[in-house]
Amino acid sequence: MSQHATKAHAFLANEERANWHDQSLWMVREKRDRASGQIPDWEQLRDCASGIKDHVLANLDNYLEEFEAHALANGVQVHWARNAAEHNTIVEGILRKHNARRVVKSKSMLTEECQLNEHLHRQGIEVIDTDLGERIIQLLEEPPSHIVMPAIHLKKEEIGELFHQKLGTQAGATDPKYLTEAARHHLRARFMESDAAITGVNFAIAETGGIVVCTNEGNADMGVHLAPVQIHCMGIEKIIPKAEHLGVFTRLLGRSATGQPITVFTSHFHQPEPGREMHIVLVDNGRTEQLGREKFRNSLKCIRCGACMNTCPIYRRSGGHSYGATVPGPIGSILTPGQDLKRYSDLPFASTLCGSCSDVCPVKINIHEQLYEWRQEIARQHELPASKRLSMRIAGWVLASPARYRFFGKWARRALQWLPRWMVYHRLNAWGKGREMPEPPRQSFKEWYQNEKPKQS
Amino acid sequence: MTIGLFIPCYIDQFYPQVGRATLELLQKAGCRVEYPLAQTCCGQPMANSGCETDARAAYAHFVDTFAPYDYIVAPSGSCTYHVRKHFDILEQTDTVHQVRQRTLDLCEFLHDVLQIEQLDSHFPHRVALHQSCHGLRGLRLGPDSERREQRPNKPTALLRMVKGLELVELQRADECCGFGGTFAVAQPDISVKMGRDRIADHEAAGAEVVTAGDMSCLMHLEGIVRRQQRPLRVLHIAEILNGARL
Amino acid sequence: MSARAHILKAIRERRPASPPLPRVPGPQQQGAGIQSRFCESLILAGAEWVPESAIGDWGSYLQKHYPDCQNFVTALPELAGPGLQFLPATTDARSLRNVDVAIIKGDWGVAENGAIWVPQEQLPARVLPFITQHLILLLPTDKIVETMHDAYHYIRPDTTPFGVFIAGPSKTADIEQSLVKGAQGARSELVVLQPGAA
Repeated sequence: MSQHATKAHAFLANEERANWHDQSLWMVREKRDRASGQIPDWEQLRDCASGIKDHVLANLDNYLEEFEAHALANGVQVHWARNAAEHNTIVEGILRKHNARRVVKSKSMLTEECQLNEHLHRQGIEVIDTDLGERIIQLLEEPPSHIVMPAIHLKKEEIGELFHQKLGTQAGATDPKYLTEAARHHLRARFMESDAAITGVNFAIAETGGIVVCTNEGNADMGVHLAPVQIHCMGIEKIIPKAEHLGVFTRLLGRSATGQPITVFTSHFHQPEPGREMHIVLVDNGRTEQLGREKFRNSLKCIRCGACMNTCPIYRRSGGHSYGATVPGPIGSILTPGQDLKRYSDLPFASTLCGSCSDVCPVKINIHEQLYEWRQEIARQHELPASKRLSMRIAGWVLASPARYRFFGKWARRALQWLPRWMVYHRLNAWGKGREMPEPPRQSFKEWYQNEKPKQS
Repeated sequence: MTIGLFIPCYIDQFYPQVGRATLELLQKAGCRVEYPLAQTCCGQPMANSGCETDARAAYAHFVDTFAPYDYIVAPSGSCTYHVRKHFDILEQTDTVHQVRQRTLDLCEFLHDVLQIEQLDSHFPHRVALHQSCHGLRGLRLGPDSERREQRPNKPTALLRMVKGLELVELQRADECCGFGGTFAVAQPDISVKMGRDRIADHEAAGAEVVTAGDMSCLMHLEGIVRRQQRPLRVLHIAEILNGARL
Repeated sequence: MSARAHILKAIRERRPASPPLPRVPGPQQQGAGIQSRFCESLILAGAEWVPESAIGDWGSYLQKHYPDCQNFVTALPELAGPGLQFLPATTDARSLRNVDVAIIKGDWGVAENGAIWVPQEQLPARVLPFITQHLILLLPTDKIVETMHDAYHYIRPDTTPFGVFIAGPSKTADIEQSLVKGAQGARSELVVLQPGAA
């Protein structure tokens, strides 16, 4: 079995917990349905967002230059990084210059992707993740299982036990309110003593040189406004042309992500406070390569709302960790093969191609079609398991010829009729694991049409 | 107008009654229907596994077989979608283009082309419609729960013409059943879990029968129903529309 | 080649042909009942609202409604008085760690989501609306618009070094999807609706 299938098997071993996970995420999907239903022109808004992003990708160089020029004029320092290593070195350099030892960071999938925390930790710099969900998994030393709700896979009893050990809360306490309050006290102390703050970026506005950060907890702002230095790390695809486009994306993001009409805080940073420094790091890390892949480039339109995860019937029943990637779920399964085809070659197959992801996507990424295309690409690059490759070759040979098709079809039905049960249902028959095989009829439709039908009329 | 009846391979081999119901339904509606004996398969199993190059010969054979017909009608949203969407790797001659354009799912054909308004069938049972994904989101046979748009639900409209039939509402109107072609065997744990959840939803809605426009979803669901020895019955929508009895 | 040049070159070699930039929806007329829609959105966002006329004397209002709080500050000199300290612009953000209630003014409100635009000019320190335990926002009712499109029609975010839309108190649902108010920022938000200039 593939890695994903193996991990899914383990996840489903505890069915009650899998049901709970499925239901939690389905609830978020339902909230998204209600919130999107409040906008009469929802589909036009998706079209508009998708069109803006398509336009940006086609003019990304110009918009990046425009963004940089305006940001510099605003007194912001702009850095460019080709890959994760350069990104980490740049951030480390800024922190070293300010002799920063204690850093607070709000949610940033980019820094996850670049493994910034691990890098800084090795350099003796402490990074505290300040989003509650991220702090929980950081204390647990686990990666996030979802890009918007990083700790969605954990039960409150587990978080209670973790907080008891790490933050000194009462043993056995599981009340979310009480646990959140404990985290609030813990994190407020970290904000007060931080030497620098790092955030991700939701949108970067080319015409103004400013960036926008969306949170519900207010942790990005608590970090940035209380620290002497602010660093914002962004993938180059986060650019939007004009401030007016924020109207489109802020309407879509919160509704798609959690079913809120807007995130609680939508913060617009244009200039540092007097006497302080503001840095923006623009990161490629494979994005320009993806831009060059015609069939896959529009995956770069993603605004990281996580709606495709919440709706995905496979994600909900296998958990984010089953994907083994920073960005899990449907969008992750079309982004990661571009980063490392060999390593992630099983992910495009972790889907039934049901298409729900493409239809919830606020920027209309054709996710399920790209999953299909990645499958073709994986076969072309010989990354399919040999047995699968062979069986498909045989199937193609059989199905190209009526005579062969007829012969093998009849043979298969006979075999199912005559073979004893133990020869049909064994460990190599994955179908038979939880299902009966279809009951083979005496004759196929074709045989009936040829033999019986003429007798009737 | 002559219709080329396309009976997908697994229906041909395992569910000939669905092929018969489709044929009879079309003939009762006054269509001239031929079943070209040379037909095999739309090639989807190979293509969905990443091996569309291996499916190319099957695609070409499909086009050759069905080129003479005014419409090609199949009791399957999924195979229809595959022909329409993925035969793009063939050279797009006029013939290929026409075959792709004229291949329709049975419900689509009855609703859009024949525009039938009544059916002479009676099915006094509580029925749940499983909305197969490729028909729903690929062919847009109805509005899905993700998009905010108005459009007719073609399978539902047809089922409402059956006397005595009571359609039940599901908690999750259009969640995937977990079949997914080779996914069913590549990821058996999730596949079966998805199917079991779907069946639970249908049972909770009080359905006696689950129907769908795609026998592949139903083959998967039926496999689980039979393994678990549950009372739920499985019928293709063509069988119900054609006047099947339990 | 610098990273910058390298990235820009890679984009130029790979970018597709450009489709036109779509037009965004233009500003709408403020429809009848916009204020009540705004207030409904506030409630859904977990905030509360009162008309300014219901406040009366600020000192006694605060004492009555925030009985456990001691440290009341405002950025509006006209509101200051006994028990409500005027807060001039400060660069020492950390000195605000013990603020219990902060009263500030918002520039625009958005009916569809209850968000209120607060630019830096309304803030003695950027951190104030986040670090305070409770937030009170004053908003003139003639500054309510229907949607975010309308809001960005009136707001030029680059005319202020920092500005934020605030829609309710700080929230989290990171523990089993249970909604908890007061994650890192303000625990509550009260919006005081002021009569418009008209």
